[in-house]
Amino acid sequence: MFLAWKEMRYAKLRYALIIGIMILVAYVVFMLSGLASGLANGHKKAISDWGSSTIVLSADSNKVASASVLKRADLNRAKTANTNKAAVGLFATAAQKSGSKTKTNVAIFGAQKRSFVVPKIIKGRLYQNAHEIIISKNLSDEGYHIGDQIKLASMTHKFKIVGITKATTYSVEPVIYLNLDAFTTLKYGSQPFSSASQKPISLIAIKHKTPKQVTVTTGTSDTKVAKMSTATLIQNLPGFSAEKITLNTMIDFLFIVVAAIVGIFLYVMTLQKTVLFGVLKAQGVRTRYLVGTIVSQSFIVGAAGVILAFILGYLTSLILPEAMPFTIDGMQWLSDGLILILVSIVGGLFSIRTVTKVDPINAIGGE
Amino acid sequence: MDAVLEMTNIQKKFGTGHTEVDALTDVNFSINAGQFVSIVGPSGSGKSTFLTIAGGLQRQTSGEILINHTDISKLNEKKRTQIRFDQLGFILQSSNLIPFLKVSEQFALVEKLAKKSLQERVDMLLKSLDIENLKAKYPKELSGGERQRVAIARALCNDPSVILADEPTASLDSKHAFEVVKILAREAHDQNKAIIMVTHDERMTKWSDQVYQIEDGRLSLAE
Ligand SMILES: Nc1ncnc2c1ncn2[C@@H]1O[C@H](COP(=O)(O)OP(=O)(O)O)[C@@H](O)[C@H]1O
Ligand SMILES: [Mg+2]
Repeated sequence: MFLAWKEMRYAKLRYALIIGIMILVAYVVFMLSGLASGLANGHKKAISDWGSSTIVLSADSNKVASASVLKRADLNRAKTANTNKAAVGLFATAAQKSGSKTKTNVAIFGAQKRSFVVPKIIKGRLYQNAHEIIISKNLSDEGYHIGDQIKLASMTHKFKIVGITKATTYSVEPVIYLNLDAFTTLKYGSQPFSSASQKPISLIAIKHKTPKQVTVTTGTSDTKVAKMSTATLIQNLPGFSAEKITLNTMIDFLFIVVAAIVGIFLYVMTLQKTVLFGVLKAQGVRTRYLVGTIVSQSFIVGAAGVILAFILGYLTSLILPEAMPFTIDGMQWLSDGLILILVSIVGGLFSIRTVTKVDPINAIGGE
Repeated sequence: MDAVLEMTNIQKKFGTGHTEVDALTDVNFSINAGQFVSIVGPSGSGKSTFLTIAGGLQRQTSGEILINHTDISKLNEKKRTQIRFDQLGFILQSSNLIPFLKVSEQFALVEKLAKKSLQERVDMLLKSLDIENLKAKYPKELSGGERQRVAIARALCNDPSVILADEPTASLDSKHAFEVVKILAREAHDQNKAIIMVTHDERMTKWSDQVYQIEDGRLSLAE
């Protein structure tokens, strides 16, 4: 480390430059990563907020929640404690405030008011009947307030906002919760059903410590169901995987760029030092020490760049517009940062062969 | 007296067949602690080859070479590197200083590698070579003569038994060249070191205890 530090101090400008480049690339990685997390959250947050382990859809839905249709009675087929299962209706539509022309796209979840999927109220109260709804904080930020009457879809009757939950999204839209009857009328209008238990829902969410133990019985006349983990459901949200793969591929590409930049830089620095390395070897300095110097330098460059980019990325996140889907996922940033440091060390390793090949004999008699 | 470096019947050939070159032929040489020996010869006579073999940087074709009674040509690369670090000091033509270390840090590096404090010895050397005031300077801020004096201190600081100096005066004007040679002679005597200086400049030999000449790879005592 001694030689590594001293050389960096001496050639300040060069190393400042490479650290500068490292900061920029790491910064782009963190921003892309924040965007990836933000977008992913935008798609899935309402669902991951449930804290469910398992989701049951109709088998023909091909794991797409919005295409799944079950019946309220199907809830009884899931063998687990009643408090741990919830029938959920899912519907995407537009909301419009009385007296306002603007419409806002929203994701609507229908659920029994006592079921575990209903988020905590941070203001107001829970809905008590099919005419009351609760909205997420991010929707209230768009000018929807407790007490407002709003129009949903093409319904003629209005819904009253009675409570606000913390900000959340599904399919990158703000969220409204209402009861199952309200959901049924919203989605199916006045279509008659033979009994309440025959009314449709979209899915069943189940919370269980050991998801494998959850079973769903299937009688001969029952709809075929597909049981999956909540993570699988999220992976299959429309657009979710495609966006994630796109951004992650860009990030992976940047990892390679970092290895190349640091590798080339240290390789050039090494080439300029071959005579010096020859002299040091002649003086009895071991190759291992010289290699250690280069590896330390690649580590210092990587770590300094990552730490500074970390700070820069955090500061940027404070000034990003609300509408931008950007989330700092600490673990994700940490792992991106560690990979960046790792690949810059990999870049440093390119020079090892050159150092090993330096023959100390050239130190003597060379003009 | 006990020889600290002893070379017997050293041959060194480069190449094979009609491109074969005899760089060293029948070289016998020995030096004791406290001796300052010069080897003079024209360009291409084998001086550098002699020094690299004596310093364990390449192996002879045949013959034996003992440093403190150890045949270094029989050791593996790692052990030879260790011997170079512990028992040999090199002083090179231009400079063997590290450009990005201040003078005091050149010694700090040796201390770190040796894993022991050399502070007292370094202070003594800096004083004796009159370069105490250069501690905080980088090599590029030193004159040629100052640089060689620091290089001498660097070579001596780990207390080696043998110092190999490869044309240490080549890059100096004659006034500073003489000064450096006088210092080498004095350090050999004061510090009880065996110092071998190779040069093509006969004027540099007058402070030596012994002068060899080398021609076409054959070493002989100068008359
Ligand atoms: N690696 C080598 N390969 C082939 N010939 C060499 C090599 N090194 C030195 N020689 C030859 O050995 C002879 C002595 O060279 P050298 O020891 O460098 O002389 P000096 O240092 O006195 O100028 C020269 O003829 C030179 O061409
Ligand atoms: Mg030479």
